[in-house]
Amino acid sequence: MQEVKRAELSVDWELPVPVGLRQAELPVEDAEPYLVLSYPLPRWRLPGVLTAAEQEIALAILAGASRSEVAQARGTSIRTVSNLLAQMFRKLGVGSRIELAARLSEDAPGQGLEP
Amino acid sequence: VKTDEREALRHVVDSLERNTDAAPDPARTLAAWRALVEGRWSLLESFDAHGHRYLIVRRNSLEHTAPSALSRLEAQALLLRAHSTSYKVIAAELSLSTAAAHNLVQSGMKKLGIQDETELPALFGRALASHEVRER
Repeated sequence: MQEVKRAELSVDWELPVPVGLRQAELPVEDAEPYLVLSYPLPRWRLPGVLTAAEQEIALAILAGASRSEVAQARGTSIRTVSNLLAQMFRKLGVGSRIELAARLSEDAPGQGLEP
Repeated sequence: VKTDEREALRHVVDSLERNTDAAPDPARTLAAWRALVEGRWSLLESFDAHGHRYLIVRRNSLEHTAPSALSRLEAQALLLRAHSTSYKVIAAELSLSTAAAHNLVQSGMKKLGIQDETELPALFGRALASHEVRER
């Protein structure tokens, strides 16, 4: 019963319009125009506390690369990438990719690093 | 999008790029976003260019509205995840299994053309600040 109540906590939430959303019509033959929506991709603020290697790995991870893909691209072992990631997470006080994204995003006010 | 429509699409993208300094019309963008979220329009294709994500959407016929609409649970899961909430906590908040919470985020992202969850904080992270979780 308690769990049902928890599920009702946030039913009024609406997904907000992405910041910077723009739109334009795309004409198509013999049909109603399509719509083209556009919004800016995330911009990352890389703090100076991270080394060049950590910054490179952070950008790759935020772009969706796996540890093995990063290791292959850098010509290192997966263990090395994992160690660098752990070190970077410790420095930034985060524990996951999504926390890293929130921490380094320029567009998530209140969550990013202090300038 | 057919091959012969690519040229028109290129012009549309160029015009959007040229007008980035002009403020978008809030009423029109809100209406377009709601049409996508509520499933009246659905995503045909998405691509990235010039630091932007582009979504090509078209109006659904009435009988096809429901499948592409974002469910309330999907919206809630996306908002919670945008705030770096773990899947375990999302599952507890929404009374679901962790796997179901993960699936909700993935299906919500797919409907909106979001390619990676690391995009969520930038897109919706600020939203929770204006929403209070209310005990009923």
